[in-house]
Amino acid sequence: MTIILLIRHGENDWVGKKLAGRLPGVHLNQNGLDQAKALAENLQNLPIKAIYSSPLERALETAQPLAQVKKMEISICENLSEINFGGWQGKTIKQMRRLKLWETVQNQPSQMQFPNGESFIGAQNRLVDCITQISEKHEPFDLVACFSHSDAIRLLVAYYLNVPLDSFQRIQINTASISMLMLTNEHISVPFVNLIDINKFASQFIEMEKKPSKQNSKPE
Amino acid sequence: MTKILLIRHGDTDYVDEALAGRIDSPLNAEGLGQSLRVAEALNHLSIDAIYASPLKRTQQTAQPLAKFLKLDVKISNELNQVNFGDWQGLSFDELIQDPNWKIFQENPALAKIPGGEDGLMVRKRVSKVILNLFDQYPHDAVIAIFSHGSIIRHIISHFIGLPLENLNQIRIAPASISTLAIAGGNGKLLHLNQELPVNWL
Repeated sequence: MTIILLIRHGENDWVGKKLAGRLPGVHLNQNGLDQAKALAENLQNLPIKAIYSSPLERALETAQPLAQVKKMEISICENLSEINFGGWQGKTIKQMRRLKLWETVQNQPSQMQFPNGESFIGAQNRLVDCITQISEKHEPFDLVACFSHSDAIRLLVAYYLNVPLDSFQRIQINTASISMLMLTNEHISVPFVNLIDINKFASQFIEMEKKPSKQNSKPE
Repeated sequence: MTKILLIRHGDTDYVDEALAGRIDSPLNAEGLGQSLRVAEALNHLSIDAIYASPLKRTQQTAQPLAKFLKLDVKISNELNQVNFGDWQGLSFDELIQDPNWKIFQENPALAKIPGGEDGLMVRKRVSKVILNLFDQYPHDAVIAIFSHGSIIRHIISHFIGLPLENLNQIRIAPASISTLAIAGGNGKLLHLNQELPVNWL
């Protein structure tokens, strides 16, 4: 049983424009690389026992600087990967908005099955299994870092807060943000969600203001 | 997209010791320091209005930010702490002796607070005050609300669809900031329990 930091990968050129999903070759841009470096600086003094990451490049590249300063290996977890969006991968937000199932994604995600991909319910089960397995590998109060994706982290936070699956999209997860799960034998809690450097709180907040189009879209 | 910053008051001598409820305990030295840090973190934002509960500790936490932004702190009775009835003022050591307190911790939807306000009543008054604010400031406003742990938990859980019985899953530390936006009738949780300073980093 364990304390888990859920860290979303840094920025890449697809964020807010196109659904990257599991497509290969989506790399961090300069801002994303800077975010990864800042994360490593902020987290380097914590007693992190293990670093896990989704197999996708953008997550691995975000984990890299931390692994380097901590002189630790990154353990790749297939199950920390982003939702398998099947045929929706690579589409622009604009294109997805025209699809019939867009409404289902927005309003009843519990019923959504992506064509040739996963359902949200299946993805949530996979992610929770992954977190359970990770926590069973560690001692109580061990701290571990897991690098993953926005929808994946939202599904996990919703699960552990007991927010219904149909409402999971009401939880926002920004690039390079940190959320925490505390899993002990008696109690599971979510001490905080979408934590960012407090010095950057105002600038990030203002940044969100500038991109109102993002609010109803699927990040990535 | 109008956004609401939900800020819990800073430390008082009651925090973690006893249930203050509506007892008007002031901030202690630590709490006054936190109020300055809240102002520092938020003074770059173009905040349209500042609201606080009628209790001293929330108004004191709002004060440095209000002064910096030259805004009045508007008092809202609906943002007042839960009326904890006979439990008010008891220490947490005393409270754990009460079987109702245990039920309240595990499932606030089923607990009866002796002489106090039940969860549904609280949820009704706090959801009303937030909806009124969104009516009053429909376009891209930023509102800062200084209130209490229980009240902030109720507001967040109501707008993200968390059942009342899971209210205590949410943690709200003194002087923490959480952010909520309402878009297309749905609430969106932008940040939960952002603590100042980020003390575990």
